Amino acid sequence: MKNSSPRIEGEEVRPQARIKDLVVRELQEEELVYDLKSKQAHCLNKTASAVWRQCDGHQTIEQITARLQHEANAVIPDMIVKDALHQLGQANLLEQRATFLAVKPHLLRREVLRRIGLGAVAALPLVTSIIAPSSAQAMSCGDPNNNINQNAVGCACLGANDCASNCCGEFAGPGNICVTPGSVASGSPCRANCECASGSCPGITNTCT
Amino acid sequence: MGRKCEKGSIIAQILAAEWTAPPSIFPTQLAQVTPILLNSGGGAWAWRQIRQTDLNTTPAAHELHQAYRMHALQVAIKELELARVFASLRAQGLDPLLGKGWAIARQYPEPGLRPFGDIDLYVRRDHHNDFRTALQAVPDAVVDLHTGAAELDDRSFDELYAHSHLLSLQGVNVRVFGPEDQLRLLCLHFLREGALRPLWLCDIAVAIAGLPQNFDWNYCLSGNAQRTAGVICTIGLAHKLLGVPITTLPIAAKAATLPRWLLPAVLKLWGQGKPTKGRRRMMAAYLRHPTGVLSALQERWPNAIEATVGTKAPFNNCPRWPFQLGECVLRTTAFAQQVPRLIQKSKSDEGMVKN
Repeated sequence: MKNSSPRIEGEEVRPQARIKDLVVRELQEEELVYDLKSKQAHCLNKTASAVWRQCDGHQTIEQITARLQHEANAVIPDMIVKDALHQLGQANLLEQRATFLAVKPHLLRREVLRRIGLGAVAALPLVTSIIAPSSAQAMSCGDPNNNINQNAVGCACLGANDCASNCCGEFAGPGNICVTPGSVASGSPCRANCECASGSCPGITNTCT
Repeated sequence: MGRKCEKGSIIAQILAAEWTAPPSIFPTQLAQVTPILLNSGGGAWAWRQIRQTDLNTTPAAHELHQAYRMHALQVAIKELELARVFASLRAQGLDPLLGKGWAIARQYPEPGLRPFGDIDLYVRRDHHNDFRTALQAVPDAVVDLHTGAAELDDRSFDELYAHSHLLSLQGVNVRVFGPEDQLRLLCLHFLREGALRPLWLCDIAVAIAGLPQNFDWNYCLSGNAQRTAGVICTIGLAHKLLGVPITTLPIAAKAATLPRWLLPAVLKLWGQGKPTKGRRRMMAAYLRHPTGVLSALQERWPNAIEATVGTKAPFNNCPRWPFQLGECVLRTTAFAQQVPRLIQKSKSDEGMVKN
């Protein structure tokens, strides 16, 4: 399987982790990253996290692999590092926009499994998106009479001025709730014009145009 | 036991595992209560309690795990916001007291177990306008500015400051209530909000489990006797429902005797998973669209705990319905007095909704 070192304009890539506009929280088994720009949350397993932490913009992939091998005191195929970099790149967690894989990711993973065996599945890097829509409701809402800088998304409102998001949507019945502006795609149910990416939530259908 | 009480018991069993034993429930039971746990902010805490059990591979557990991850990030983001607010206020020479939210979340065994939304600041009445103006410097922060000390208004601000602590967050000093005031505030807030969120009782249990050696019970229990009785009752509830040990506490004997109606009332409420006050549709919205007003009134029928607190009734074994009725009358009267102002606001907001 062809798997040469990726290059940008002839130079060997020295991956650099993005730092700006990211909120990072390290947990016991994984690392969580929230992109303040794209508002996406990612979960990095131990392997992906270890690779990401080595991306200092100075080390080549070869050097990163060597460093990880030294730290883990085990043989780590460079394709694992490349797979991690590929996923980190996809999640926009690297400064570079390089192509780290010469093959399709699933083929690479199959090759890794063939080489190191099924027992090493846990060692495969994994960058996943975190989606927990219900937990948005978990925040408590303050007293509407006290809130200084308006209510958070999910809290009751009477008009846009009541919401920090400046977007107050209607419930199915009367009464309103602060919603996230521009968060609903075309054809999906909406509660306010401002909630639609298109800016239009016609009253009859209540779906974004 | 009713179905709602049964659900409430399952919730209690899960949340109590920190101080008791791992929950012995079926995956179907976990699935039943997971939406309530997620909606009430208890998802991450529930995940912590089941992650070492056989339940940890169920689809419901996956949801709870995701909530844990999400809360861990939300807390990290909120901490930045909180530090920004305090840095800004301090730069303007203001020093508010922070209550609930981060103040208790930091005491949980791991970050992210206790999500928090708004920033509850408590300020002296005569400083309210200064804070209001100062907070305009951080327009995107969601701040709940309490004029006065809310449930703690039976002590002076000087006392509250004297017992308060300064903590460092991202290099910024954040002033929080002392442990005595914090425990009292958490208990009274739990009762005032009608015990709706199981996580609020976890807050109390976490606070009790982490009481410092020099905790001043005399000070904690000083002030309005009615409220103090409520505090003791809530501590008893945390012990009975969540298993937090209280035998060494001087109030253990008093806290062991709870009104007969209290435990089933709380379990039923937890099983119902009703939204908290801030998440209900505003009553004023029904002035424009009266459809559904009956169900809104039903939703607002005060529960036994709210009614007891609202009517300043004693926490004893007497039936609660007279107090519920009384509380309903009090609320309706208060709302009726606001109607002219609300109609005016409703008219001015007419064009702002669906913008």
